[in-house]
Amino acid sequence: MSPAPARRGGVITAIALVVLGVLAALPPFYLSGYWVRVLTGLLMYGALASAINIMVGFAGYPALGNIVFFGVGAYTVAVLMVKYNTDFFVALVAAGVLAALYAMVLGAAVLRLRGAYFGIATIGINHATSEIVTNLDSLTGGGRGTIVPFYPGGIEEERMFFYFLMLGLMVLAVATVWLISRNRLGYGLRALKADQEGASVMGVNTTRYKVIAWTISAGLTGLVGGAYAYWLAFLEPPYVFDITMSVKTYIMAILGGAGTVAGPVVGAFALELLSELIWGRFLEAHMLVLGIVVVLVVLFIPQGFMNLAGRLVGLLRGRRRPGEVGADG
Amino acid sequence: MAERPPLLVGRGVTRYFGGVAAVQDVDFEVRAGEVLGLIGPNGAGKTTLMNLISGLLPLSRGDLVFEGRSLKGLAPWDIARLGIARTFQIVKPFAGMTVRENVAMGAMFAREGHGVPARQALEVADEVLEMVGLADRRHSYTDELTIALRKRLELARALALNPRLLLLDEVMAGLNLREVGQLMELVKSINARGVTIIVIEHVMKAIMGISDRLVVLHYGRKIAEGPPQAVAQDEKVITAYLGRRFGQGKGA
Repeated sequence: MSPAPARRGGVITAIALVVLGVLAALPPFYLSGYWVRVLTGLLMYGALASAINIMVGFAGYPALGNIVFFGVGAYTVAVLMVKYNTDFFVALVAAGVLAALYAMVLGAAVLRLRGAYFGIATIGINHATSEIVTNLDSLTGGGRGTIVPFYPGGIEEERMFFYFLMLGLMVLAVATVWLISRNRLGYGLRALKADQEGASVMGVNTTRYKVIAWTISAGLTGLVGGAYAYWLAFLEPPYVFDITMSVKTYIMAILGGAGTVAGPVVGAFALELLSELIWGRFLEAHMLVLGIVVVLVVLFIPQGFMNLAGRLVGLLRGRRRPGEVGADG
Repeated sequence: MAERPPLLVGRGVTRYFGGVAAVQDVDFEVRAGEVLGLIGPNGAGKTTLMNLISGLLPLSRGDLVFEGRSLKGLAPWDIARLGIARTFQIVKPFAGMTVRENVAMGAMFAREGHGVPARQALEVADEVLEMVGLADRRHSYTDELTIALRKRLELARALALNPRLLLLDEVMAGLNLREVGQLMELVKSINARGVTIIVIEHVMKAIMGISDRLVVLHYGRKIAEGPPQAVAQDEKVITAYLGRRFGQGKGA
């Protein structure tokens, strides 16, 4: 296809990104503290869902226990700040690096398992890690929990800081997924998701690709965990090694569209806003209502919102493929 | 026919599954530029031999030497990047990718030094799709293709790897006569571009028509080797394979 439409597409994308950027920067200046806090949570889930999407959506590995890297990141920040008076940002980087290394070491062994077996193994790793953190009493505060130093500023300033911190991490996560999706790594992962033997004879080093995918996913999850520790200011192992949180991000990724770039963010926003609304109305039965919503979505739009949107656009424009990342798309 | 240097040499190639020898002490040579047909009754070990060459199965004994380099212990991706590509009898398209993206995979992960970035690979894919006659389906998803087109896709994907040696495992099975004819032409034209080919095929007319030489396997052992016409008249081959089929009136 001629380059002109591609360039026009680029300009439209650039404008859309600027508009999105401005929209994303406005809320903390206009909304109440409560809503800024809710939105900060949304951004956090957007980042987490994007991170798990690399495993679930691209590589096809149900990393149900991915939250373990969140916990590792959170405790890295807590321990470094409490015990070693480390600057927050230095601790945050360490959180990402440590979580990534953890996945790299585990991955070599655990990524030999496929499907549900891998999923179960990751749940086991999460529990084991949680126990270790609980028992490293002198370092982590153990089951009593630990208090992370407070943000050294006013309440308004603090609210801004965490909003923009989470926004930044989400942008980082989405940008990472975007880069992956357009590169050899993304294609290799999608190929091994479809068929490992087929991918391997096509030259994809499936072992290495899976480990790289998990390392990146873990690094991003660790960063978000580190930010969360500072935001929450009080940590206990059950808070940050919480498997239901993992499952939630998993559902968000699938809801929005596994293997797409924007899908997990859309899924995270939809599910979190929905659960916020349901929470307000059905204090007792909100998990039940949420469950029904999830079942309905899986039944009727199993490939997620992005696929649905793509099909609608396709209908309007004639046959054009939404999923393909290419010179003309 | 003039002797050509061997591209791939198998020496005592053996593979056991438990106590059963699926391939046993097979010596063979694939000469550069030829089309080598691999035939034999069901269960003769043809696909196992192909799996050994592409590294999906480790050798139990023996050695495979490609361009002077042993393939022993190499992973499938290493072997692919040395320039050996293959198709599968039961096609393995990458679901969730378009036809174009499937083929672009080949160009991205091609032979050492030939791989290109994703964007460029999509353009290379277009050329290959043009060549195999799939260009008008490039935006289709693999599950929308007929079996004949999926086989063609499988071939296109392997071609995009820019291989020196191409292994075709029953690319013609399940196709009608017209489709077989088209695919034969395609295989010949690929060979004419300098790609050495090993073919497994049950469609006799096809394999006789495109092979320069045949290797016949029976119960994992090589029982005959040579030009198609000579092999077809070989006593052992007729009793082991062709004889029975012709005897039952089901011959090609």
